[in-house]
Amino acid sequence: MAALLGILLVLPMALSDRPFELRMMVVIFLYAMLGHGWNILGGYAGQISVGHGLFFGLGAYTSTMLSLKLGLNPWFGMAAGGAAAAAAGVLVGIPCFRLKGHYFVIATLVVAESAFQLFAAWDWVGGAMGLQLPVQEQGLLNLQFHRNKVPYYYIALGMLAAVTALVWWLERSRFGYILRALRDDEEAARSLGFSPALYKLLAMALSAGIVGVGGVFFAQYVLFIDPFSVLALSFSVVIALIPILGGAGTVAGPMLGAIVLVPISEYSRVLFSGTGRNVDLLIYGFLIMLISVYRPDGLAGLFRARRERRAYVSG
Amino acid sequence: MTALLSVRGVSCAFGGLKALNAVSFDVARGEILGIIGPNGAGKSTLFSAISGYVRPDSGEVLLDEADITGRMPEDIARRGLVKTFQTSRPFSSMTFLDNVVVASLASQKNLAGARKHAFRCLEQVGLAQHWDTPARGASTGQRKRLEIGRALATRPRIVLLDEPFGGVDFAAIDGLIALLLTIRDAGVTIVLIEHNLAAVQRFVGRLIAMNLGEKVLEGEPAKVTQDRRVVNAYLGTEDGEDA
Ligand SMILES: Nc1ncnc2c1ncn2[C@@H]1O[C@H](COP(=O)(O)OP(=O)(O)O)[C@@H](O)[C@H]1O
Ligand SMILES: [Mg+2]
Repeated sequence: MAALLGILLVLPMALSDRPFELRMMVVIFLYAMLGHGWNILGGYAGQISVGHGLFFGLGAYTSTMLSLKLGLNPWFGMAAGGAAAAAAGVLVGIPCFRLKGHYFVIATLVVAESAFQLFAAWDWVGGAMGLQLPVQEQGLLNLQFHRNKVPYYYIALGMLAAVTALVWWLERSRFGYILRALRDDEEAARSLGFSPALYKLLAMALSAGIVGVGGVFFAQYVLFIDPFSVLALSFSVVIALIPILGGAGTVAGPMLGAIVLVPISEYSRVLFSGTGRNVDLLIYGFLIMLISVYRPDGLAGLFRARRERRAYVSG
Repeated sequence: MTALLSVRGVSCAFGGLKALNAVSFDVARGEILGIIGPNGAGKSTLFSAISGYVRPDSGEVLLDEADITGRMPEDIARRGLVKTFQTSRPFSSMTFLDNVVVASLASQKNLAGARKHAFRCLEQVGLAQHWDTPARGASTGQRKRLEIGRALATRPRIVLLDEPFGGVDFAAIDGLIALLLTIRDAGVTIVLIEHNLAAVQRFVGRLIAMNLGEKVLEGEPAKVTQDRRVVNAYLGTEDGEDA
């Protein structure tokens, strides 16, 4: 653990003249963080959303609009973007949590797609043309770095570390127990006095808020957002696939998923540039089929199975 | 002293079927009340109507004089009335202990304290040695006891147990009866549904017999089990008796 963190801390030295790999690491950190956010609702509370791109997009649009219209600092934008996404999560959750199973999944998809259409048609937020963030003096204060992109690496790594710690703690907390109980059997959880509506909404707010903060980081990283890059349905699917592939409801899952999936999508973009826009999604789909047949609990399950077998042998 | 639980004229219909027809009774603090009746008599529906899983079409349910009719199950549970399910519903991804820890967390916020309390409850229901077993692999009898342990861990005032002996093997019944008496002596009022008339007569203070959605009889166990109407209702559905 500590060794891995040590390597990650010095890695940028080796990558400073390799922008492709540096970018890939930033995207891995970012997607792992998004996966963590999704995992709180989808993995621990068992509410499968394929609309989390909505919260990513809301975060990105909130901070960008605050910067463009009011000249507000991106760090303030990050707090506002996270809060806006969390609030949207609650608003989406109130009607959608009335639906169970597949109906909930479809509802999240419909809401996210509607948001995409809305933003693509809404001129005040740039419509389909998107929004360009004004270039400002680079530095931590403005959360913009132009020549040397290494600071983005450390910011993304720091955010991932913080969210990982949060989820680790959450898993062991009262809240984590209650979420897993809801996932396993909602009626039984009610019989003990836990309100499904309340705890699902709390999980949704936290989940959406984390993804929203990720959206703000993304906007500051690429300095340009449009509905296609932050609100596309395929992106919502990717946010869900990462933790599902890695192992839903585990702390390691979203990170394992991002380590496997992000390189696939980055390299396939190079290989099939132009022609195959979503070749990576095809490969993801194939991997998901493999994993659901051979290892339904995701890549994290591989490690757990090994550990349990060892414990079984020794015990 | 007023009744802890008071059921007054509760009726419930599913489509055309009257599952409960104006059922009324009181439960006093600290008693063990048994409910018997053939399959389909409406016993489980009665528990659902009391605990908020089914909204009564008419009538009212009072818990310690407060009207809880039609409230959410989680509200009613937080007021101290906890029900177990006829078909047990463990949290299957968790161990026995964690199942009970969740329940303890309903009555306290502190995780370390909740674990201690959960372990004591698991000991009470005789599952402590299996604390680390995944609930997924539990036998029917273990599930029944796990569910009782879980209900206890919430520190309830009254528990409604739906067929707690179902699937529990014969040899374990004595232990279970002793457990229920201990729980009662600790101040928890118990209402339970049971098929096994011989077992139930040994420890309940009072019996209610139901048939076709109605309360047929209420009184001392020996009297109720020997009543013609009760005997007939049972004989008529002998084959319907479930395990
Ligand atoms: N949710 C439901 N929907 C429709 N009918 C139901 C439902 N629950 C119970 N019933 C019917 O109500 C009657 C009483 O059932 P139940 O309360 O389970 O009986 P018991 O527990 O005494 O065996 C039965 O005829 C049963 O089929
Ligand atoms: Mg029943």
